[in-house]
Amino acid sequence: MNKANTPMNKPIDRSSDISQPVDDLHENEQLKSRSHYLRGTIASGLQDRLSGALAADDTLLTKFHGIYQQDNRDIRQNRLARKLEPDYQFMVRLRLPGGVLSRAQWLEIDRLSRRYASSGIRITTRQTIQLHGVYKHHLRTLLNSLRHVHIDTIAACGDDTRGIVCGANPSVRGVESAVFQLAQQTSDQLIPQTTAYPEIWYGDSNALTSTEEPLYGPLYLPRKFKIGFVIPPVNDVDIYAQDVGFIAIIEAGHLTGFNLCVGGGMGQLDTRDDSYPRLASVIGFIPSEMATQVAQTILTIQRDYGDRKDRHRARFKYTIDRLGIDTFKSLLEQRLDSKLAAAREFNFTHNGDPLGWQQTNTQEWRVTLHIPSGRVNHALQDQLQALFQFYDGKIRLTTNQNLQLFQIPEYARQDMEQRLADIGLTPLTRPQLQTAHTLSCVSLPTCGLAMAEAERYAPVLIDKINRLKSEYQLDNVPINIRLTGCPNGCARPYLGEIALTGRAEGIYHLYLGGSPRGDRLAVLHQPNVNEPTILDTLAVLFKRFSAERLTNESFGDFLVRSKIVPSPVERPINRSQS
Amino acid sequence: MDMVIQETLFSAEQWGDINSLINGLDNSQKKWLGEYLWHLVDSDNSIHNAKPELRTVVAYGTETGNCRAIAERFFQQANQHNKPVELIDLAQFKIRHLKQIDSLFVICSTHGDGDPPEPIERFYETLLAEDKSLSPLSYSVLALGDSSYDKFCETGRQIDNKLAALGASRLQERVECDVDYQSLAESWIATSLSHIAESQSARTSSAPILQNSSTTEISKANPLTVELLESIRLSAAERNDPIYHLEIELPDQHGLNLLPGDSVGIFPENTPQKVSQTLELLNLLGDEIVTLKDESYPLAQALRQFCDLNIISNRFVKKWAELTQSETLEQLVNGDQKILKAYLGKTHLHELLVAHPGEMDAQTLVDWLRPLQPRLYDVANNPFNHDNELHITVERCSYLKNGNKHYGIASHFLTTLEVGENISLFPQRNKKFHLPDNPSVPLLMIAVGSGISPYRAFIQHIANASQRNHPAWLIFKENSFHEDFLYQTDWLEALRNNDISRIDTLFTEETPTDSLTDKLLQNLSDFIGWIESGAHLYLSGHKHELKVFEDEFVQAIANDQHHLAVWHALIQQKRIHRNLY
Repeated sequence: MNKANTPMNKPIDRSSDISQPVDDLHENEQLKSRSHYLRGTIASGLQDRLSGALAADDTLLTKFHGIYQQDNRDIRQNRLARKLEPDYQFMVRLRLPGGVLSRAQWLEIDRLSRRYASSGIRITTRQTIQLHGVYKHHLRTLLNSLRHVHIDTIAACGDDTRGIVCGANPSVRGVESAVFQLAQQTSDQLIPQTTAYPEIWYGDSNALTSTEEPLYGPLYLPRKFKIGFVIPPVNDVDIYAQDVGFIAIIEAGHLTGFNLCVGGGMGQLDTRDDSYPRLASVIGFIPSEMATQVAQTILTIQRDYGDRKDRHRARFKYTIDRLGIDTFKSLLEQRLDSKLAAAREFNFTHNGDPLGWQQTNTQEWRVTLHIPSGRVNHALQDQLQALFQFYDGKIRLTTNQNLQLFQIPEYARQDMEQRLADIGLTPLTRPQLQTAHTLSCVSLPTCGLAMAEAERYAPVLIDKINRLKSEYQLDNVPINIRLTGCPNGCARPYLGEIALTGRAEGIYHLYLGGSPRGDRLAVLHQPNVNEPTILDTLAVLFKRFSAERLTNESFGDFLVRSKIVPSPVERPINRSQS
Repeated sequence: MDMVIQETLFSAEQWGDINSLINGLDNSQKKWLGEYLWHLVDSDNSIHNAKPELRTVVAYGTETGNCRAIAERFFQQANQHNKPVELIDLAQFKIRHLKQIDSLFVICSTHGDGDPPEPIERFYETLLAEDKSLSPLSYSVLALGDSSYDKFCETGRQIDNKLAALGASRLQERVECDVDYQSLAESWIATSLSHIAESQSARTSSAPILQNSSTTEISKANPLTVELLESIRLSAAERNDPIYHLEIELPDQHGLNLLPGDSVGIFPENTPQKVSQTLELLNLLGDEIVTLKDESYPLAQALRQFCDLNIISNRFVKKWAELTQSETLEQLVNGDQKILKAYLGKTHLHELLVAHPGEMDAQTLVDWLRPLQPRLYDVANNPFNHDNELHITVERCSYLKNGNKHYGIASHFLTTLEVGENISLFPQRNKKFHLPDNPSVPLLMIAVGSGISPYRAFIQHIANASQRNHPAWLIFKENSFHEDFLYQTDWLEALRNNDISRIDTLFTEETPTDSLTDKLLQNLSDFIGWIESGAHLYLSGHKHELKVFEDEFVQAIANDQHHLAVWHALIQQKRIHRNLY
């Protein structure tokens, strides 16, 4: 290694990472440290039938088990007046690396959601399924039933490697399945090894050993850690929003390896200046067989250097910026004991899902069903249950919260189309264009962080935006819209061409200028605005866009070209980096 | 009584006074006085001062915990300076409590677009709608907010302005803090502390004020008229016979002399519909003047307040038979008295009047109708509370009769009463359901449904009376954990504070086949162990269910000589207390 070219000579500031005494670290670190590898008192809390809640400390630990305590905020005050505790319930997030399910798994999840959850099945923006409204005393039964169909919830939340997302692109034979297998393998290798999960949820009792987490150690990671795989030119997983991203490089019809990108992340706090969304930086190329090892090595760097005093600054994107990208790269190369090759050429064209039917390179068919906000409940849940009574193919959840049916042979296509029509699902294969390009988070009433409506408001807002688009003859121009109830970034708002992040009931920050490819950050255009102001602003911009648009130009690209929002090079990159 | 101790403690004159006072008291009065004196010693190591200390409260409204942290800091600093303050969460605070406070320091944040912290929404809305003067109150407000929002510190501003508008006086101008609130908060605390006087005694006293002996005793014949402060439906909207929690305002010196476990008798009123139905059937107008116990009332009022318009007395049906000269009625009243009794048991007054029409003059009617009886409700809060409040738990009863739905008179009256309306009540001693004299024997408290209310009084009292340290075990049965765990938040708090040692619940929706007996048999060795160690067993709630439980339980342990002996000892030593209805 040529030391002259790296800043490794400069000592790395280690005053807030794992090298410090646990007592000086954030209280969550201390909690993890004394939790006996994620056990805490969860098991006894599950036995306590006087409260629907778990002990406060345990609710932080259950996140590592994919379980999140919530309550219905709409009725909290009413219950308090009735001298009842909040209606505590749990969100259970499944670990489905790559988001692929069999028919049998879907049907079992469907059954369990009807028995134990309050609002059907929810497909998330990380390609997995959440069941909401599960009561404490049903958790064990639910998890055991999932186990029978080989699904667990380990690390679906928590300071660890979250479920790994994987893009779809059937255009080159063999690539999609190879990338998917790598995603799954990486997830299986990087989940926590603690036996707390089987002990607590399945009743398997294994002796506690001190080497239970050879990879993580007792403090796990400083924060959540998200990994994604994507196959250009489709950027469906928004690879630049991942902590670690693997961009498949296909040369001469073969997967040769991945461009590696690091340090993406959406979440930000409006109250802090040193808080910002960041696009992942592409730092080189690796052969495909190294993907899992590279992911694991980066994880250990974040484990060792991530900020464990200030939880907000603990995300990997800040670690990268604190170390500097070159120092980080040197660390990685040292630990891998090999140098990264230069990044290869690739090109993204869009970050949405394909609409409707699509033929693959192997002459199979796949069809994407657009699921508004990923909510599978009421009639839709029944329709899908009916559909999957007879189905030979596979099911994929997408990071745009849609459902994709794939591995449909040529001879079965007509039959499938007929069945979709019969059951009334055909409209989902032809969603309204703008609706299909809109992503929103759960927000009220269940999300504890929500400050404004998102999912419940999305149809209303899109309806109004559609009317505006019509007025300016923009009906056929999809705009990538993101709507979230808080600044934390669950629906990856800062990549939207138009994005609203909740500030208070009916009040949002308006961001503009992302791209339809998920490769440019939007910038704050107007803070704290209500719907009339938002629509007024958009009306003016739509009018100009309609008049000045170049052929096939997207709204976001237009805003940047016409300098309505600053171009990325002109933007103050990160407020904290000065 | 140890005469030596008595002589050292009291002068001859004092001892004479004490004796002459005690000789004039009945047992329940003596008992109450005993509790009262305990309480006095407990809450103040000295007899109540003639001049009470000023009451200062630091109240916070918080969503994220910042305001609580500031309030706690205030509290600590005040304590260090020997300045007595109380720390209160506005989420648990009621506007009416402001009357009992001299100085108030409010710390409150603003969220979103000028919204109050979610837990204090109710308090905030009620305060803004309040119109009663707060004039002797002085106060100061520390407002937290985020200046990136338009309505910066809105909640604090509103509270400040409202308190001023209600006549309270500002001790200092409102301080508004942005997200970096620390230093401003510190200086506000320092200034605030300068407004608080140092304590003269070790602790503030808030013992109840001695009863003015000149007031006439409140009794069934001389009930107290009080106001309904709050009516909360504890049950879910879909429950048929919902349970309500009523909070009633008592005057300062109410003289009810209640003990934990006691009840109050409440005089219900008939519904206006019932009264007009009766008047119509009898061809009466309602404005006829009638006399009841030397007082004159219009007939309609007399029927509404004093006459039972459902149950027919033996005496009335005989009078009615005589007046109407109905042959069937004549036969009925002069025939087999068992048949007559059965008839009266299933016939309401209006059914009699429809079946055998007739007329009766207004005065005769009120003279012959059965007087409307008061109904007893267990007191659900500590009778020694400082807020002059009385809580009761009321389950609305309804029943079907000849295809029509009827409501119990009193429960319907109470659950439809509006805040601010009046209630007439009197204290009812419930001697068999008091706490044991021994302040540390264990308590086993079994409740079905609204039967839980006296236990709330027990536990509140135990929590506030340091001489009492009973281990207490509550076993509670209701329908649904999510909707019917009556007073759940109170119980969880009592558990956290160790005021209660154990709670077991049985919710029929979850375990429909389990009975109370099953529940106890599942915990039999613990239960027998408690009884063996001298526990008093309390049963409260539906009569039938708890009788069945007792019978079943005794049968279930009948084969075990030891268990049976323990049970018999409990009965013989009168350690079982029943409050069944």
